[in-house]
Amino acid sequence: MKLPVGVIGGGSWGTTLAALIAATEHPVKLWCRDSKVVQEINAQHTNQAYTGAYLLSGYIQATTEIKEVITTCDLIFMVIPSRSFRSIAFEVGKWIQGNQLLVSATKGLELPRVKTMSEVLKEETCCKKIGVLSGPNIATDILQGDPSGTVIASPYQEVIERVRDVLNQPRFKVYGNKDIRGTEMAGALKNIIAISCGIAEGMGLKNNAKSFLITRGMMEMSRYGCFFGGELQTFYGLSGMGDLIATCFSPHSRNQTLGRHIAQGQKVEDAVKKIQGVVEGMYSTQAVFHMAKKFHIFMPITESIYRILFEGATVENEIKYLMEVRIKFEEGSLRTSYADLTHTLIPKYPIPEYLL
Amino acid sequence: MSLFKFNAAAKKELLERVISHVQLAYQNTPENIREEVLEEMIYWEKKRLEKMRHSWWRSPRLDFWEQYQQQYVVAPREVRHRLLEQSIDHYAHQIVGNFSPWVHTLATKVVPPFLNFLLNPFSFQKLISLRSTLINENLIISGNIANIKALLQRGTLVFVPTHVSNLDSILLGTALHDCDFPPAMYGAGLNLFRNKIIGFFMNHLGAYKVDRQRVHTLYKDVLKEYATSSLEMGFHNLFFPGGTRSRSGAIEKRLKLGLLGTTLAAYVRNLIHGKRNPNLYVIPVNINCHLTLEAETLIHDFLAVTGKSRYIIENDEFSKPQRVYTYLKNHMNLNSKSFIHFGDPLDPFGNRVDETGCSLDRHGRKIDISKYVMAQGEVKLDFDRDQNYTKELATTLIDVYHRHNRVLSTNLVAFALYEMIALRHPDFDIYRLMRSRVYHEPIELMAFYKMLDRVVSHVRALSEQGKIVYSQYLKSLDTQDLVSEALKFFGSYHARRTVYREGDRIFVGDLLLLYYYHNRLVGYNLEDELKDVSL
Repeated sequence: MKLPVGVIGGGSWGTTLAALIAATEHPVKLWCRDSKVVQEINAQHTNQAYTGAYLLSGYIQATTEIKEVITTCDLIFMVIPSRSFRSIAFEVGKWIQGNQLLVSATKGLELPRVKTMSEVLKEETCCKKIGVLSGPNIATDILQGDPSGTVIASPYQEVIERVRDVLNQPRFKVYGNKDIRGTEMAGALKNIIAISCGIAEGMGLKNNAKSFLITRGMMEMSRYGCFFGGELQTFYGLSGMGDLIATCFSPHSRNQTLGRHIAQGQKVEDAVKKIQGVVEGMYSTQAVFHMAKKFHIFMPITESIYRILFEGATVENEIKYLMEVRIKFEEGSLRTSYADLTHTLIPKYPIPEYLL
Repeated sequence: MSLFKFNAAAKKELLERVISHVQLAYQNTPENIREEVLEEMIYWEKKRLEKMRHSWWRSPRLDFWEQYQQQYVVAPREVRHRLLEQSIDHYAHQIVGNFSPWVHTLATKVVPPFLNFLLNPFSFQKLISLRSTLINENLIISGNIANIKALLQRGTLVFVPTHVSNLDSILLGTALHDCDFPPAMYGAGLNLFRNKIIGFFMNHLGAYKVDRQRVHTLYKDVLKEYATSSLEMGFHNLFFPGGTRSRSGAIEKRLKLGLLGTTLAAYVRNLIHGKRNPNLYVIPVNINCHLTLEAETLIHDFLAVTGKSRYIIENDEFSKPQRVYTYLKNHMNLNSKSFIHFGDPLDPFGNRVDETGCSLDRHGRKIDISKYVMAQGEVKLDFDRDQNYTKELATTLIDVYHRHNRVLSTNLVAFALYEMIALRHPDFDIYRLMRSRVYHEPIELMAFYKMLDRVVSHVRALSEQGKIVYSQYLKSLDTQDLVSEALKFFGSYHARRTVYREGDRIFVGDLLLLYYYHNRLVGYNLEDELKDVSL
């Protein structure tokens, strides 16, 4: 008998993950906030609100009791929007023990202190063996059976092996990575670039403009991510470039949809209301903009998106601004200074850090 | 367990444990790796000796290793195995320390009054006072001592202090004695044992010898095993997790995981053996002083491009009795203080521990830490997992070190002044500043006060957020008093005055020392907060 796996969150990605795990014949305990959804999943094996008529496996058992999930599963996936991530993590922390594994599948940053989800898990629970799942994973495409891949990042080999064991299958490939910080940063930052791509799409701009935004956006993402301790290589992998391309080209992406609506002349508030579910890119833009400003990280696309979303700037003006940004060379300079784990250390003077 | 129980029998048991554990570990490794380890040992031993050009014993020892190598190359498998065993035995005996209660009494009861007399011959009252010494009068100890004491009955303590000077071990020894903590075992660099007086005390007060020039795997394994086994036997330990004195003067930003990891290894073994009190408690300790004895040598070493090759400094100020005497005398006469703060105890995973020895999460919920090392219901050692746990502990320790870093007037003045010079020459790094000597330009006192006020306000804000310690005493000083106090210290001990004042202007006498004392406040992002200051 295989050990049950817990999934906290019954949204579209949570339900899809539960379906993927169930496909490897692992029993799944799926926590949903809404008792009606729990009833629907257990009785009719569907989650109409998020995965439509897709028929869920009998291996999935839904519940509204977090305690039940935590006390019976050794591996738990957290698939909760970043805004409510901390409060749910606190509940999880009441029951979890040191031998269990926690994996965040949420792509976002917590405001106002700009924490990654794995950092929130560390603060709210006693769990040490924490991982992050990220990659080009559009839920609807996966449920259709399209081949796809993802990355499980954790410094703990045990987490990587266990997640591969429950998720790896013929049409869903799972890769390991030790760079948890880079993976998480890439997952959050690509949402900002997806909004910009949505704007380009909404304005009827063609592929030249989109690929221009994506590649320069990629540069911004890696510049920011490396500054805060991520590895450059991660940004060119599935959780970086892979996820960025998927989100920027997918009509199902909420972030991209938001951009499209804005370009079509809708007000930001109206566009957000129209989209069912949470637009993580909004929060990421806010968080990243302020951090980049504080630490002097050059991020022109993020700046533009921030001004459009929160300061009422017009799309035309921001395109003008982006085209006027003075950069002569493509590679630019990656600010290679790192943020150490506790207090951001900016070596203002080029003293080699390895001598510290 | 107190070091007073480290008698001949305990020493023998410790040695036997170390030797058998390392031997067992190597028995379980493949033959080719064992041979690699031996070959590495021969290579590094010869390399180490080749560097010692002026030692009279260099040549016979080199000859020994030549013969050893020749023997090894032609030796059959069994002989090679025996060579490995002999080497383990040899290193274990070289590392092992001693503890003499008699010398401990001498060090705690007789030496302090003698030092009193040496440093202040006119104070008869202090001479006859056994407990009050000049050293501990100038030592301010803080922290939750009662909490730590309560843990003595519940497990083994591991003190992990920040490190700036060789005097730190003496200060810590005094602090442990003053707090009525039992003496702790600690690893000391072999170079410290070369000083006959200091070496004598170290040799009899539980210090074990760490030869940092021996960088090969076998020696490191024996050393780590020594620490692990001593912890497993319940002897309280002390080690500097930074590995060496902070060369830059900054708070430790990276810790050596090897020795730190022995805490977890000992805990897991305690659990496997079903020990009654298996827990180990890590006590972070912050040491702050107005001036550092070896500041000049350390900062030179930090900036030297060839810094790595001079990793082990043998000819610094600590090896010159006259400098030590001057330092201590100035230290006492100027009434400068040394601050030692014992932080809240942590478990080997970096969780906070309460007075009953229970580990707590950030919300104060109890944690069963034995679960961390369980796999399929059994307690197991796992190299990858345990290394990551030790990294978590190191992260927590670095955080604690920064939070308990006590701001002193010398650091504040140095930081403000250095930043002022750097802002005036934004394109210059420390190397270029040194070469150009623009730092000789005088600085107007009023402008400097303004800058200092700015730094102080930011540091105080950090202090209110619990990110640094800004004492009540400093709060009571106004800017002018703060500068006067710092200038008094800066003008006292170092060969050149770091900073001095002439009329309404301030001059930098030694940019490197200024940079050294400035670095204690690096890591708080203060530099960026000062960017918009108009000069």
